[in-house]
Amino acid sequence: MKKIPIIVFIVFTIFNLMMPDSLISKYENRRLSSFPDYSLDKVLKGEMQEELRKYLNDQIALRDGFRKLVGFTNNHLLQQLEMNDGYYIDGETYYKFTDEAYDFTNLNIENINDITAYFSGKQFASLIPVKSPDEITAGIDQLALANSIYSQLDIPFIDLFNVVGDGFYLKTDPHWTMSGARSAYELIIDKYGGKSDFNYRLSYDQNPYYGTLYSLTMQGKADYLEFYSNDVIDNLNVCINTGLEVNCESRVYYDSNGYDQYLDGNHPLIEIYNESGEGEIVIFSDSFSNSIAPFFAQNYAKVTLVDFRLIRFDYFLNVPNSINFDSDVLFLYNLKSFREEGALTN
Amino acid sequence: MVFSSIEFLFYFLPLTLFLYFVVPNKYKNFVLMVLSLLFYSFGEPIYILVMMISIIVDYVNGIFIGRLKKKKIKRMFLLSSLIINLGLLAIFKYSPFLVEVGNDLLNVNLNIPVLNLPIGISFYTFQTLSYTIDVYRGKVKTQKNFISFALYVSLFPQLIAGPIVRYKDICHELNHRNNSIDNLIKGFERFIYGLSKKVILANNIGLIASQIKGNDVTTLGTISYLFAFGFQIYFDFSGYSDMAIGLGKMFGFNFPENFNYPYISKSITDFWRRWHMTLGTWFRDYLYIPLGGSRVTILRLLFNLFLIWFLTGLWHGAAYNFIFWGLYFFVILVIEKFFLSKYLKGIIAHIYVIVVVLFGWMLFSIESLSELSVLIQSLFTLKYAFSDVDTMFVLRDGMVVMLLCVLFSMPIYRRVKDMRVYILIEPVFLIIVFAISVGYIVDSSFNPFLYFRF
Repeated sequence: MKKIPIIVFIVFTIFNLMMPDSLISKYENRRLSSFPDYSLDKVLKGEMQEELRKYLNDQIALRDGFRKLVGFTNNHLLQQLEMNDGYYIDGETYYKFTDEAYDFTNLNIENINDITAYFSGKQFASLIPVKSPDEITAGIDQLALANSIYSQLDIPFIDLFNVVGDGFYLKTDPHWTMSGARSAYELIIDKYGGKSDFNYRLSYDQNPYYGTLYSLTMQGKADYLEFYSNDVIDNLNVCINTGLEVNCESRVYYDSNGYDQYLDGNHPLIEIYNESGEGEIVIFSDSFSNSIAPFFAQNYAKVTLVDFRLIRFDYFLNVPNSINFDSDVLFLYNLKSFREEGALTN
Repeated sequence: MVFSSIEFLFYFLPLTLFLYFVVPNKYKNFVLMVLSLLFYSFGEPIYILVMMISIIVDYVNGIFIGRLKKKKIKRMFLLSSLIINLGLLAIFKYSPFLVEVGNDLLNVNLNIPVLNLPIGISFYTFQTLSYTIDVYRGKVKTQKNFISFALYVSLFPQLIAGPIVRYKDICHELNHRNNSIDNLIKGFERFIYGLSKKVILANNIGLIASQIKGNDVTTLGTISYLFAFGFQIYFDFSGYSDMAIGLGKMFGFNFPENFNYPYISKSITDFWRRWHMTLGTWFRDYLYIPLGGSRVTILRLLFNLFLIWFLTGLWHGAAYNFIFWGLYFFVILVIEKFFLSKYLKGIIAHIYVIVVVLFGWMLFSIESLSELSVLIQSLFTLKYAFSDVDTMFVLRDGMVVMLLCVLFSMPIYRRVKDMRVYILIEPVFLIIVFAISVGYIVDSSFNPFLYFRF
């Protein structure tokens, strides 16, 4: 009996040595470290050892299993809600939204106010609340932060706090579900005077989706992404400007992984054309716009998505045949990104 | 390299065990010495030279002290050992602080040297000194075999963070030890207990301490922080000592115990007999008793105690707060010795120890006087709120970890280890806590080790 622990240790050590290296961490959505290059200089500086440490940590056998065990221990044995800068509560994972990160709010407000001056159509700003559990009262007061931002903008705002409800967000990801995006769209399009009473067919992805929050806690069940469609959405034309080339296709749902299935993920500039639509709207946004854009494309002849994390403002102004400055404009950002990302609006 | 790392657990340790057990007995010390040097050089490739100087100096001094007859010349070699070892310690650990003190006292502005502290220098310096001093005193024989002596100094289980193994503790085992499967199994068990104390308890309670420290200051937050820090440093250090003792056992060495449930003490005198016992024993045998111990005049006794606690503080770190921390215990111990000890009974004694020790951890953990001022004001004035939402959340989230720390700081293992049911489930229990510990190492970037800086 006493020998069992050391036998298990020896067996696992041999098993670990025999396992091949993995390239990608499925849950963390990142490349795992590979064996470091050797040089005497790196050894003397301790860099080689540090790289080796990361490599061995990344490549340990049953890595995800060990991380799941920790998630289980934290959540069920130690009764902790907080893990790795996230929370796991009642089957859902949340980011920790505190004031620890550098605050870029004022910079982003300034940039939005600069951009609005270029456009003459209807303009609104809308901040998407950070997915946040009711149990956590600590951290940033989101409503106060959003109101403070709105009060400093030169354009009116649309409050999304009231549309947040069950099923608004994915369980394992900070993004909204397509149903959540739809409820936000219906509120927003009403302010622009557009109709929203379209009929839809709802289908689900067959593959389980583990979002970026899942890797924080390794707890909970997978999401299954939603896809809304109807005759209008099915006939939309999408042109994706990657910065190097422009690719046009007649679809809004791509054969990519996870959330990238919506408009193929994040790109500097995406244009969606609807032959039966009227007018144009430019949406300055982050990745949240990828799943809401197909809804707007039902109303407008052209929807342009601009992600300033991937394109500079001066370049954007000079994109050939792209920008109509009479367009309606929507600034649509997740509150956490708006506060913490300096390159969000310029 | 730290014990609570993947590279140690699944690469260095298995390789070392494999090579150690396959080579014939006469090569075991050589193998263990080479691998110990490799272990040290993994983190500190350059500073291995400092340790090599210490090894060579004390080996040569030991030879001369053992061979020479004249006490005066012997004393010269002992002095050379003291000067070189303490000199290295002074240069690498204390020179920045000494320049800082000089700048403060003389009102000058000398550049403070920037030196990295060679890991474990405080520990191996005291260990090598124990050898030369005991050879000088005739308590142990000179170690003529260089490999055996180099192994004693560099032996990886106790090299970085103790326990401080005096030469006389293991001089016999350096050449005659029991390399049995039974020792291997017992050592591995002890290692797992230590690893889980460090990784599951110390790291988790350490996270709570750092979260509280990052929040706005409140009275309840400060109290909770002191408890959390007290548990963190205990489980961190005693966990590391357990791992060291367990690893030693796996290779046939019996290292001295370093902790004996200090938080159940009934006086501070008792606390220091249970906390970092090998450091206390070292100071007692090599400083306190040579200075006359307690069989001296009261004034001399006070001086002896003052010196011991000043040095105990200084040993822990080259900064004012560690000296204050040491002298704080000097004052408390003097009060206990001459007045308080007879009144310390029952639950009051326990509460007294906890309060005094936690206050000590406040001195120990601070990085500036302004930080100390904030902590004291939050405890004893109404300047800060009693509690807030952030504090309550951290406490709610850390409640079970805190309770586990309370539970495992008491000697429950002693009570359950002989129970039939525990004997039956212990192997499974050990596998589970080992797997959880490995999981935390894989998962977490928060894996500090407080005693490394000493």
